[in-house]
Amino acid sequence: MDADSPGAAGIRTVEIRPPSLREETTIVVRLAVVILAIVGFYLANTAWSVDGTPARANGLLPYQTLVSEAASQAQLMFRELQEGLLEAERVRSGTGGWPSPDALAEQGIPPFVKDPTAKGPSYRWIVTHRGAFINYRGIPSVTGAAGWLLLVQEPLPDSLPDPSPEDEEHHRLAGGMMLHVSVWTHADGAELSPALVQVPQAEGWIQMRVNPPAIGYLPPPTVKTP
Amino acid sequence: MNGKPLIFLLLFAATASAQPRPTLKIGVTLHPYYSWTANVIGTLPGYEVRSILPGEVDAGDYQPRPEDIKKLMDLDAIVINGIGHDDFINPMIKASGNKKLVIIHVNESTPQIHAVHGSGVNSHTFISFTNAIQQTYFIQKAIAALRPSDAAALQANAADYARRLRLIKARAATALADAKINRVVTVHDGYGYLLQEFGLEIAGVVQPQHGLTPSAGELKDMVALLKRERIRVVFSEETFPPALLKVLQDEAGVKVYQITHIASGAYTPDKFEKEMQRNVDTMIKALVTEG
Repeated sequence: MDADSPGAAGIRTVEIRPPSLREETTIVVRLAVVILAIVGFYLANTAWSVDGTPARANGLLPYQTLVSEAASQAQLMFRELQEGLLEAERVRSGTGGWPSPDALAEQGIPPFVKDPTAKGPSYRWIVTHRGAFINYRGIPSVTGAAGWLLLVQEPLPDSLPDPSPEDEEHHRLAGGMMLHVSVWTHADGAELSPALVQVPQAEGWIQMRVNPPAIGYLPPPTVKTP
Repeated sequence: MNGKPLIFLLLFAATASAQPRPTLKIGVTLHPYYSWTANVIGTLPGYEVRSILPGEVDAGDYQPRPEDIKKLMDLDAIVINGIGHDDFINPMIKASGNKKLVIIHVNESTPQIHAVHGSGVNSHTFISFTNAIQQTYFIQKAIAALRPSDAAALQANAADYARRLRLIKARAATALADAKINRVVTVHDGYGYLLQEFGLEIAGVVQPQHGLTPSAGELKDMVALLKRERIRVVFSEETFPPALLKVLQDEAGVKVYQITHIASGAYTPDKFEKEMQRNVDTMIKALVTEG
């Protein structure tokens, strides 16, 4: 039966036409503009930065740098601080307290123990602890030498468990407590106040990272302890 | 009160606790990972550490074999380098069909230095005391996550191993503090991490790429560099052609010493300690005693 015949009540015919050449061209051009905008945004945020340096290329924040780009002495200090932190965390897990630099040095743990092959300045290590924040600070013996800061942030009392996976900034103690940890350097460590640092980036410190931050990276909370 | 349910419960609990727990099988791709993992486990029962490659084959020369893929099929976890030293393992894991395998990427939080040639990273993070300690703890944490009941013992084992490695390093550092030579050339680009730990500099690397021998032109350039920079010591590896080393010795007057990159031989728990001890002994001989 013919659909248009009077007998086919309730059935209607709709003609679907392809878009005109003009409409089709408009769609293609619009799509191309969107693709170019996405590619441009990606390149601007990954391949180059405004000042031409590749630093932002990895999604680093302005106060962050990669260990792989650092000088050899700084790389070594970072590596030794990682080792020292692991041992300090082990003591914290076992005793409930953070070990002093002297206690770590007595066990031969770098960078707190004196290294007879070290080429740079010697360091005096201090630990400060207030509230949730712990600082291991390396103060150089000479002006103009880099200072070092190992910043540990324990969870605040009554805070919800941190669901973050373990990575270079999240270390879980044996008892389950999740720490925020980070390593920082300052161009002139000898001139700085030895007071506890809670927000290093606000005081001119540069964070050294092994890997670029993951997509969606959020810096640790910067709630100050009074 | 009827004591039967309680008795049944106690019997059930006793039976359950008496049953041996299944063996946790952990694979490794490289020799150092075998030593580290074996030391983390120590004498704890219920573990197996399994090397995937035959001992005599250097990972750099390895071609996957069906019998090695079979070794992956029932593993619970595997320790891998993941930054270029064991790229063969990913297709092998896929081929094994093991979908429950936990992959322990030991370099996940290890800072890497640039390779001397090219734009890549130096994947030999394992020829180092500091990295060995950091990665031993990394392995320990990963195994503890799989066997939480052993977490404390695993951590104690890792700490004990770290102490032993630190002792070897400290003794070597005391001796190397008197080094008369602080700049060397290496044949192999694998020693950057180790030399950095003792404040030593690398003036150049002979191999244009890992495992490749230099061309005549590259060798000539190296001789020129050795003379220009007045380098007196070259650290070589076991497999580098002696004829090429002779050119460096004859033309530039350097002394050649062998450093192992712990890449072949039997897989044993003490292999890493023994070979690293030998390496630092060689460095002391080259840079202090005969330097």
